[in-house]
Amino acid sequence: MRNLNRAAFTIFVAAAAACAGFLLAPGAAAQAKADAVTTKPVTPAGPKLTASAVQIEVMDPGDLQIPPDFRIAEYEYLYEQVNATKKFQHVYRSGDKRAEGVADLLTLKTTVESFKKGSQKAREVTTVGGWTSIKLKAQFVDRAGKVVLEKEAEGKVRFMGGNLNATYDFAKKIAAIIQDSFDASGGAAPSK
Amino acid sequence: MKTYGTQVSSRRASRERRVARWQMGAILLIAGFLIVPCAMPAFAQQAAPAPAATQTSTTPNYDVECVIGLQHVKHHANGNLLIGKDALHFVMAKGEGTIPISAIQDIFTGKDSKQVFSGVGGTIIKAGVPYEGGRFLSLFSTATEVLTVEYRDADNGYHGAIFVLPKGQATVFKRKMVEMGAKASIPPEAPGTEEKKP
Repeated sequence: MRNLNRAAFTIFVAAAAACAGFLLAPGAAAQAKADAVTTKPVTPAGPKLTASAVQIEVMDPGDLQIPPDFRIAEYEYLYEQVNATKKFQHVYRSGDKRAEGVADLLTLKTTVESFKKGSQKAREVTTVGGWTSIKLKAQFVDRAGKVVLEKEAEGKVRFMGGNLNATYDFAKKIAAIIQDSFDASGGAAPSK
Repeated sequence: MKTYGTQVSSRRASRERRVARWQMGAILLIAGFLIVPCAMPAFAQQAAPAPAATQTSTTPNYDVECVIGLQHVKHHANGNLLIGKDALHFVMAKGEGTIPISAIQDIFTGKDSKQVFSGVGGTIIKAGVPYEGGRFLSLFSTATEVLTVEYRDADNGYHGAIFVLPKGQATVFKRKMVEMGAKASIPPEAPGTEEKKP
């Protein structure tokens, strides 16, 4: 009897694991595909970029109407996350006078490509609706105006959290792109 | 025997009825505990009069949330927003953030809502309600206003701060700051009209 129970339990666990794998595999594959699509590289893979300083410009909303709080949240989170990568000796804000004398300064410009405000209430009540998403094109431009790196990233809130968390998600993705594409220059503490 | 069997079954049935009654009572009690705190902020919101722009009272109420953007202030910190002689002050229990009025480049106001059960505590409560009842709690929210302030620091660096205030306060703050010399691309609207976002 005991052996039978053990065998039944083993079969049950195996079946549950198989079902879980069957359910999760397509989702994971779709997520991997989506990530690959949203972060497609423009520059060819090669040696990593270096720059001692970066200046972050305010997002360009394009033709879209972006609420001011989204614009500010995107900017502030982006500044924090870029600073946290520690890949640059200095991270300057838009208009900062100290950036004028930096020779190898890069400028990070972001342009909105699509925006969906969503609703936290709708998201949490329905699960399938009310998603917030903001898709932006990020460009690193050098002093001569040449685009040295261009990537797209999308910030999303699917289930929990406020709408502005989409901007935080976007900033985290840009930070990950910087981690992958840039080498640390120098080793000085990032600017505040 | 038959009589004894009938007695046992009727006793069991009455016990089950009693248990069911207890369960129903417990469910109603829990529902009451959950719904009453939800409803209270909404009533408080209706009853509270619009406060004055410059809060000079010494008793802080910390009903303003600074989402992001002030130096030396953590994200989502709660505090009191005050307009001083020449600056906007966000005063917390420990510490303070300041924006000089002369440094303000633009001010925007907007309408929003805040969930009654929000944050980590709210999420735990929602997760604890059985049969997906947490979704029901997500329906409860209070109306709020968002005050967005763009300003420059001493090095001319661009900053932005986002404040979430109780309904009716953001426009009052904006009007007061504009009167004191702060710039605003959209003039403060008359009471009762909605500001158009750029």
